[in-house]
Amino acid sequence: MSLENPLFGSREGREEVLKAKAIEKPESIMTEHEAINPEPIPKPLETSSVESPEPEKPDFKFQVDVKPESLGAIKAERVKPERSAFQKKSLEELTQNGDKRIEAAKQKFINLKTSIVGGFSSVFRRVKGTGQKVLETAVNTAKATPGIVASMPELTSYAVEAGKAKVQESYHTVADAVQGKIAETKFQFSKGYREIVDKTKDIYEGVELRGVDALRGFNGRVQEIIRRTGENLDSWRNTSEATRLQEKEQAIRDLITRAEKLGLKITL
Amino acid sequence: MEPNIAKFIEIVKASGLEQADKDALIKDLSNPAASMDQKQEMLSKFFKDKLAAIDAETMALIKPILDESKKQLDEAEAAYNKKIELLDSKIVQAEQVIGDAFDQVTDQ
Repeated sequence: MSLENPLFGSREGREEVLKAKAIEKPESIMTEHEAINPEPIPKPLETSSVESPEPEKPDFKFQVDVKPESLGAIKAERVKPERSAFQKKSLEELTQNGDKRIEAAKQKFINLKTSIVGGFSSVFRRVKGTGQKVLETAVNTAKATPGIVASMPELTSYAVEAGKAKVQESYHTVADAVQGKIAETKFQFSKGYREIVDKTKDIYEGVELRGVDALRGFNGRVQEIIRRTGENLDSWRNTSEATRLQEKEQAIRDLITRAEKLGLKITL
Repeated sequence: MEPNIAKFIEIVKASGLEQADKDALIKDLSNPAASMDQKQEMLSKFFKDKLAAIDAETMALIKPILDESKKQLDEAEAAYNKKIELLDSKIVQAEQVIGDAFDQVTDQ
């Protein structure tokens, strides 16, 4: 072992060597961090990428087909096409009501997605920050490890008195331990990081999928309700009550027509 | 063309209107003190009231159908809201899980 080994030179020289060998420089932390990351930090989900399929519009064909006839086929044979107040309301109102509810539901889902995207951003910012923190901790741990810097005068003195080989051995033992600690920390962090990212993705993707399902389910349910209402109204128009009302109204309409033909001005 | 009120009175007499309505209409249409405009206004009001009554009766009859549909819409909306609230709470739980995972990694 050479006496010219810097380990046995000035204290400053020894410290430099020890730092270079055993401790990573702080500036390299992020480089190391990035190097151990198995994949780049995923970007938060873009709103467009998680955009749920546009909820299907209510079946307006149904509306067109059914509405004018539903309540009333009553009106189908009328000379004049005027529609009564109840016809203008009923299905039309119900459909508009359904549309509004679907819009409100869609907005709630969009808010949920915004929350998910925000959650992702927050998660990945924290992961990055924590990575740096973990490695800084590792460096500080190494710096604080007894026997490297603080005890160097004693080690040197011991080397002079008891033998250079013994000092060199102690140095390597400590340096190896520190390097091992850093490597272990990196590995643990890398592993933990991957687990966090995977778990986070699973959770948010699960929420996203269930949100999409819920919105689709609600949309379908609203359309089903409107469709059934149309069927119920169609059934109702075949009842004797509906027929009676139809005849009653038709009689009035006939009278109006005849009055107008006789020159009477009727304003409804 | 001068409105032929006399002819229309004959039509009313022969119509299927209820007797009370017929009597009232004929009385008003035959009133010599009322002008033609007044008679036409009265006739318009009569028809309008009759159609409104039919509408009201129809609405009353179909109300149970519409009420049931609105009830179903309310239920569907409530179920959806419940699901969204549940998913919202999942986000909060996820934050907690992630926070715990960070703590674990940092401790290492």
